[in-house]
Amino acid sequence: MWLKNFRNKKLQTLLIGLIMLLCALLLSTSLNILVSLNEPLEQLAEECESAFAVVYPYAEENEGEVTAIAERLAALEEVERAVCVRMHYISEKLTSGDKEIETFTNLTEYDADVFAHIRCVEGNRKNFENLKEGECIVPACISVENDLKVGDDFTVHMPDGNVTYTIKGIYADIYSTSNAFTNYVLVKQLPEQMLPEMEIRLYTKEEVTEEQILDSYEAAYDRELEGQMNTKSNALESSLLAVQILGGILLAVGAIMLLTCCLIVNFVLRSIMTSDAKTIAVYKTIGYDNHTIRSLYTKFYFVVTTVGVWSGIAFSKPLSNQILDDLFANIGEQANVHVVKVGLGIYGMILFLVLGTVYLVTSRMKKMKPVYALGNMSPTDTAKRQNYKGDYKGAFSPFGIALRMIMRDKKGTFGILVVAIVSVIGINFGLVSLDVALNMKDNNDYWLGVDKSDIMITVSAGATAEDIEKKLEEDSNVLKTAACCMSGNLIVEREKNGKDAVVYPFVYEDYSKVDMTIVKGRNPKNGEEIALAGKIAETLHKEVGDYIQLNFGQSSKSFLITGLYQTYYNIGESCRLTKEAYEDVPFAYDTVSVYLKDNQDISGEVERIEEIVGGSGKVIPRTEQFASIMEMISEPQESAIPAVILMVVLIGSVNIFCIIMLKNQKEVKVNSIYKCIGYTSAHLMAANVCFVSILAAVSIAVAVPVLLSLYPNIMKLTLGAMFGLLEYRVEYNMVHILLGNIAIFGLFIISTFLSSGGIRKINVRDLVIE
Amino acid sequence: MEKREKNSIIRTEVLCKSFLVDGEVNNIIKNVDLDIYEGDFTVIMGSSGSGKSTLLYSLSGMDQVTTGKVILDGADITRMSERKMAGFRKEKIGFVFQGINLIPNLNVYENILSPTYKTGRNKKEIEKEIEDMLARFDMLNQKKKFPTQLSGGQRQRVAICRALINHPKILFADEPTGALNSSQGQHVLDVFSEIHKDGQSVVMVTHDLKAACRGTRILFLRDGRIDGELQLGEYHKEEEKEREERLYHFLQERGW
Repeated sequence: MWLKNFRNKKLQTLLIGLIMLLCALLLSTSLNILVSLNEPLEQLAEECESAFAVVYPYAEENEGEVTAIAERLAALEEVERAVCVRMHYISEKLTSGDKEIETFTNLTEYDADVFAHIRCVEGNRKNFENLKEGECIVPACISVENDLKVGDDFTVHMPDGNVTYTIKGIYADIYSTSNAFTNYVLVKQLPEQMLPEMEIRLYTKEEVTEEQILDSYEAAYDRELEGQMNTKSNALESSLLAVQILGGILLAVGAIMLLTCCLIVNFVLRSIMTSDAKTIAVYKTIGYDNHTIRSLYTKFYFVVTTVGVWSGIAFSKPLSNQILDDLFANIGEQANVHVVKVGLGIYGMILFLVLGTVYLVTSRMKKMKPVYALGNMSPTDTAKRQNYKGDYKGAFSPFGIALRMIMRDKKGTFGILVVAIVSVIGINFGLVSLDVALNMKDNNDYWLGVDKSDIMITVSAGATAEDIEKKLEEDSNVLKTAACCMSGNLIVEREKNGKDAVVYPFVYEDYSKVDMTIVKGRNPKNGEEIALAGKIAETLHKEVGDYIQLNFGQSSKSFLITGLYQTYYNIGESCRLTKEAYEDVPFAYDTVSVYLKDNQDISGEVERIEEIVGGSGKVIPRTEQFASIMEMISEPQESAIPAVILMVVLIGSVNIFCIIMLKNQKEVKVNSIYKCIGYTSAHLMAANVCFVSILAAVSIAVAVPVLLSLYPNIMKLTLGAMFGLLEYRVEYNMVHILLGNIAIFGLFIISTFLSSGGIRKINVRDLVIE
Repeated sequence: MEKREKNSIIRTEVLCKSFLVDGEVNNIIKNVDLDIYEGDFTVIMGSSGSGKSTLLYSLSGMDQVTTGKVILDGADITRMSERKMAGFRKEKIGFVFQGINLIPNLNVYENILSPTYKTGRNKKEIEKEIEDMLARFDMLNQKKKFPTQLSGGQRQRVAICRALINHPKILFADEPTGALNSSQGQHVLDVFSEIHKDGQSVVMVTHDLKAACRGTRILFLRDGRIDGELQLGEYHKEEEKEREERLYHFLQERGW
């Protein structure tokens, strides 16, 4: 019975269902992205029997010292065992066939005590345990990113000759899930020419925390742990960073669109109630009470919401799988998100909002008097109306009619305007996010905190930065060079109740000679000054003007904080020092920044400089420096945001379609009258177009400046906790924004045209009272 | 049918109008050949379902005919495009509905003004004409009011003003007093008589005897065909009773 009341509302129902579907699709996809990886990562850690933590000793090259730390750790009550692992951090060029591999990786000696249970993704597990000389096992993250297979070669370009391995297997482990963080390529033994470093894998007896281990160590040996600890849960969090950023953006857009959906449901319901006034009046005259009539609407929208939302949730599965595919592949699994749990929450929330709206709108039924509705009458209207002050010629032009619609129905117009503004904000949010993601590599000087040179040369082992600078000194295309060090780490000395922290410094001789963005304060000028990354400053509760004590291994020194800057490098645990700070400590530059004279072809110059420096360094454009970090953040966004924009555009267009269609249905009589007194369908459609154009223009005029001013703050709020963002710097591409908004405007107009087609079918006979 | 020397403003040729009802063809107007003359106040009468409103809508171009022709002021309106028909309505046709059908978000003045868009007329001239009309129909002080703030009779008078503002060749009215009480109806009929006296051609559908008496020519419709015609001559209030009787007899003869 209740369903029969809605059989003449197929299109409205379809549109409402479609809006629900898209909204649920967005929300479900974003939540799937945020939650789906946790469990598989935890399972991976369990399956691999991964160490509780990896300890990176400060004296990583001193085998005796590292072994002693491991023994001390092993003797702690909470610790089951501590295993030393020998490895070499590859700063040299890496290739497989013709492909250059960009990653942070350690060539690591296979130790069954540590790696016996790693997940075998490809290859034979027996080969893992019986690795031979010239064979290696690579983590899935490197294999996925570079399309490496078992049997491919893997070459490290050492200054004194290449070292080539054959890939015998692909594996996954919780400490090797991303190219943006250090991962491990396993070999039988390190080549002699590689300087070995060591780290310690720490296995605990039971559930303990990082603080407990550190406190126990300090209590047992009356000293702090001589190294930095990276726990399994930290590694897990780092693996989730990229999806958290993406999920956060999608969730923000999803929430905006949910608001739109509520507004549109409200609008549709109100229109339906108006057009159903007679039906409701008839029901009332034959004895139905408000509660019974309301239940007709509630049941109907319950069904529409259920079908729409669950369809959206079902469609979110393949979309989420597509987005998460690479990330799952990094842990050797196929993406297969489970949408039901997340879906139930979304369904509950949308159902609550929709039925709440139904309740509120249908509450107005109480005021409906059957006598008016059935007699085509309305109670005497004493409301004051805005006098339309348009001139005679314009008053009945399409624009004049549109303007009058707006001025004389401000409440209705305001509702439509809010829907349009929210849609425009959603679309622009996506557009700006995509622009930021696409330009992240170009702007890596800001996002990574490196200097804005044109080319960077990573110094190979055995070579020196000074040699490279000398080779480029006289080059006619080179404006200047600057040596720096990016590979060390320092410990921040713990203050009372303070948290242990490690910082990864960028060290330059003179910051005034390089182009390095600083968000607050200034870069250090001498050996007593330091600039801190936002994240570490936030962790340590430090500000410009405060002091910080750094441990250099053999010595400790206090620094005045002169500035704060932004970086994703090492998740924001970074600082800037001058070379002077290292005066009593062994120090070597490992990178050379090259500034070219104007208008140079960067890729051509990279090839030319490669020839000049030979095997002394790996030459890359600055925009490719730490590419794996930028790609980890930007690539999922680049792949997912266009789909999101499409969805938001679709929702916005459907909203406008729906609004105009309902408006036309509501005004079918008025349009008949206009036609009867000599107005054409085209004229009335043009009035609708003008109406939407005015609203679209106002929406864009309001939404774009609001979004542009709020976007950096929204992103800072969303991502600030992860990276300690001081400022989310966005260089808006006004051309893209302009084109995007012209497209939005166009889509709104197209939607209006499509939904106004019914005006042509209006027959003036409808005005006859039979 | 009696041939007259007056100019024919509407001529129909074998006019048919059918509707599909549950898959069956329902012929409402059947092969009607008819002339409506300039300056006449033609009233179409008939019992319910005889097709009077359908004929009116076919004559005024508000509805498409099934077959046949309607020549209005020399133009075949059955062949006109939507755009041309819209222009034609604006310039040559006025229409008054039983349901009144004023545009709710326009005030009285704007409702009357609305058909003058793109007619090329002088703004001041139109303004003056609206003022004169409103004064004539005792509506001047209601100029700024919206339709919902008026009585039924007042609304219908505004609708008549709107229908007349472009000096149409012919004014159609479909049961103009059907939704009004008797005193309001009387007022509206007086307006019709007045404008007819001024020379306006009127075609009105009604089943109200008092309203029909205002006409000069009565056409009786039965089952989609013209089943008789009565010439009543010009209306004079003092002859109203006599006209009513004549009309009553005419209708009685036709089984009314």
